[in-house]
Amino acid sequence: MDKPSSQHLKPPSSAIHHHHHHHHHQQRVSSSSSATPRPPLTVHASATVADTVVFQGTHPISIGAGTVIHPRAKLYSYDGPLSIGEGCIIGEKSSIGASPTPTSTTTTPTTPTTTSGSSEAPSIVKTRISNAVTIAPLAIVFPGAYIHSAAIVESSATIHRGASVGSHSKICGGCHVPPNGNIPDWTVVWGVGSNSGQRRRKRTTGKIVPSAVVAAGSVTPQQQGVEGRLIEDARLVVLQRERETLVHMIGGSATARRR
Amino acid sequence: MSRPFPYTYISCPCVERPVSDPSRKKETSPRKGSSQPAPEINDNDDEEEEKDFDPRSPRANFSLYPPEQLLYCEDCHQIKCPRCITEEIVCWYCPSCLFETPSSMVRSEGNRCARNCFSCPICTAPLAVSTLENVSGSGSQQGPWVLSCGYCMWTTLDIGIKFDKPTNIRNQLSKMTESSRGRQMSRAYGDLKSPLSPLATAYSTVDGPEVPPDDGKPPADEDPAVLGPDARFAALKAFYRNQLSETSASPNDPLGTDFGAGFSSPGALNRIMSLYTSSTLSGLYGGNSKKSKPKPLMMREAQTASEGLKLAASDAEDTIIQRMASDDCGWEGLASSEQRVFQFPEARFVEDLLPLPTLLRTKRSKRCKSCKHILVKPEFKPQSTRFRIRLIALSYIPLTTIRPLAVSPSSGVTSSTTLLAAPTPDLNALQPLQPIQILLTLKNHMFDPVRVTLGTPSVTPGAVATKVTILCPQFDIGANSDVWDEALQASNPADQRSSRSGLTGGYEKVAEAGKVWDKGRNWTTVVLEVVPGLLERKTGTLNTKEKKDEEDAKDARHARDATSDGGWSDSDENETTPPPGHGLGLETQSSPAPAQPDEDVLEIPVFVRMEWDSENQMEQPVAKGKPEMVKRELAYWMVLGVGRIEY
Ligand SMILES: [Zn+2]
Ligand SMILES: [Zn+2]
Ligand SMILES: [Zn+2]
Ligand SMILES: [Zn+2]
Repeated sequence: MDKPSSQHLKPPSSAIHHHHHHHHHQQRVSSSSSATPRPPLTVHASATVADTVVFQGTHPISIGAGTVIHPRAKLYSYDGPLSIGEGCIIGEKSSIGASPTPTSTTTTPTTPTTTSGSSEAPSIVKTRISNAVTIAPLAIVFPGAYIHSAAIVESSATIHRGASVGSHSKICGGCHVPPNGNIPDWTVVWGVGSNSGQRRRKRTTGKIVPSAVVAAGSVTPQQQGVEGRLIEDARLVVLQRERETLVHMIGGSATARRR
Repeated sequence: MSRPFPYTYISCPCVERPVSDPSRKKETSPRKGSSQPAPEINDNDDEEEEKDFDPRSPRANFSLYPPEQLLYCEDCHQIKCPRCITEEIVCWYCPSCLFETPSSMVRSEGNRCARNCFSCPICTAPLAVSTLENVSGSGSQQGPWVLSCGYCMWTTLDIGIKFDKPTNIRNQLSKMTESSRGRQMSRAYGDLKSPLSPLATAYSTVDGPEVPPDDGKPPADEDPAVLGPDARFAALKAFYRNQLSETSASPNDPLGTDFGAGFSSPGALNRIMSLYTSSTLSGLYGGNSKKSKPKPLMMREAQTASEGLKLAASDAEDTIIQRMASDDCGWEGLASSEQRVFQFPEARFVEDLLPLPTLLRTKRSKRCKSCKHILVKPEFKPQSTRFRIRLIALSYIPLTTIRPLAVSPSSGVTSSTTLLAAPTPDLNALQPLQPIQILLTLKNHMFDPVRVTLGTPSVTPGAVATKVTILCPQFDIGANSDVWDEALQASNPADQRSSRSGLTGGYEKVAEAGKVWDKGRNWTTVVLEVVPGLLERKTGTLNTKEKKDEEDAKDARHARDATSDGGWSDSDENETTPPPGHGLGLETQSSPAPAQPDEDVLEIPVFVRMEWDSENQMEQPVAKGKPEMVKRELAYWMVLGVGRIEY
């Protein structure tokens, strides 16, 4: 993520944080804005970040080339560093990482008080979002999750702590990936609810021969032979166009921020 | 119960057929919830127990409707629920492309879109027709095309199918999925064709008996039954029809008209008779066998693949089981029962699932069952959402809304309060024995003023006896006249406004017996005083028990309810003699009357009787200047879902 063209927005004030992080927590609870810890940010010059995006936390946050972050997305790095790859779209009001407020669902042993100190190395969890990932509006990605390249997390879906979402996979709206869950590549998680109502489906990547039931004999060889991967290629082309459009829409106001 | 509090349901009067005289009902059944409280409670119990509407009775579910679902017949002058009407289909159309399908075509081709509309076989979301030209590198050439699901990302490539053009997808699909060799069969797609389709029978049996398996076919399909499922169905149907006609009797067969084709077949009859006239009995009934001299043809079963016979391969099931157990199938590879419902019976795995043409919808007109007048008539065009006629009940009966008045600090019977100071009670946790006041607003949508009389049993039916008093049971509601007419004519518009602003003003407003709370152009608000009943008397003192105990008790009651079969009648018995006030808590505890589920829901039955004068438009010639006025009246029960009483 650390490209030569990257800009350093804020110097990593880690020394200050390490000395005073206990005080910071108390101040954070009292929600005084001046005390909110600003994470060390590394944003690629070609990334587009809206004005109202929230960056909070003590660990570094990096954003790769061409990535677009919509307004009011919340990026937290209290639990560990957060890296977002290239060509991603992070939707409006989505949340990546976890805020340190007691109301958040972070009831795991890694509470912010224990993680924010760099001395306690094992409790630091890295949150990773690879390239060309789409995080839809209102989606929630908890610390420690790893979203692989070209995956889609649809709106209001939740990726719990430590879960892994394979590349070219899709987590449909409202679906949950449980803590430390593993969704393989090219898998669609769809349906309702978290457990029984949720189903999985493997996306087709290769050439498929029609089954006996589907084709009662007439599907000729020249009609076959299109790989399912083409569909994904087409989707990624569209995604690229969407990002280009978004840069014009969000970019205008965001440039002011980056200066 | 599924609606959030507060809600209103209306009981269609058809529940009590024959409809009893409403005027008699007014006097006897509902106690007027007026200012006189105590003396009447015990007097008319016997009268009430038959007449009062009990929202908890099992029958009530069949007559209670949300007001907006009800219609009104202007000829019968009565509310009409879905059970009081008949429906007629005006048109069939596809909800996706909004094309109309003639009903004759629906009959022959089935009730699914014949164009390009499909739903996903995996998740049922609508499929989009999309092109692959951008990525497949075919350049200027359009296509190929696929159907793709935007939700679960299924595409027809998942089953190895793509299309040459973006139109007539259903035809293209049918050509692919049906057998390539049957010339006639290619027409026989109609994968979901109506079994009654005359077209389906039009295909004669295919002559050639067996044909070597096709070239482009997977090895699993090597059995002789190369017909597609639809073609096979058509073949079987044609075969049996042939058999019936070949073996059917002469027209003078006396049974021919009485019984169906199956029984009129002498072949079938002969076979049945031969069961009885077998070897030992043949001597006794020997004469019979000689009688049937011109031996009729025996009906036979299909014997070749062209007749629709499909022989299952001996290892077919093993193959399926092995496929299920294999790693690349897994749980996800199996089609769920929901997914298989509309697919071919052979479809077991997700790759066997075909996209489903979109189900058509109908527009329907509705008629009154008793007088046959049209109550609802939609515009014929599928694209239009307008109605030519729509007599919804809420244009006639007053729209009823309820909301709680702020909690009074003292639990006096007629209490006074200000809206600003006191909080409104939580309808999901009403406190037992703590009086609340409810504002009941009736809004008139007719152009005639209406006189309304409300009645309610003083104690609600059911195990939980809630006391209800309507402070002003009789009142008028203004006509739904033109707003501007009203404004110009009104001599004292300030009065209305002041009365309305009194709600939010600083001074206290007192709910008085016999007086309406508030009144507007076409609405009137009265106050209901409600003392929620006690659900049960616990062994300890109230409110000291822990929540967990309460849950246990609740579960136990539910369990008892489930096991006891006389539950309803027991509780009914209990409610006929409701001891007022606190006594009830002890009563429910000591008596074996089981609790019902949702017994904590406070529903108040209210009898509404409305009277108004209207122009007699039906029989009156228009010549006269002043039309004759006719007295009209309408009476019905409604149920106010106020809230849930806390344990
Ligand atoms: Zn009815
Ligand atoms: Zn259609
Ligand atoms: Zn789908
Ligand atoms: Zn009628």
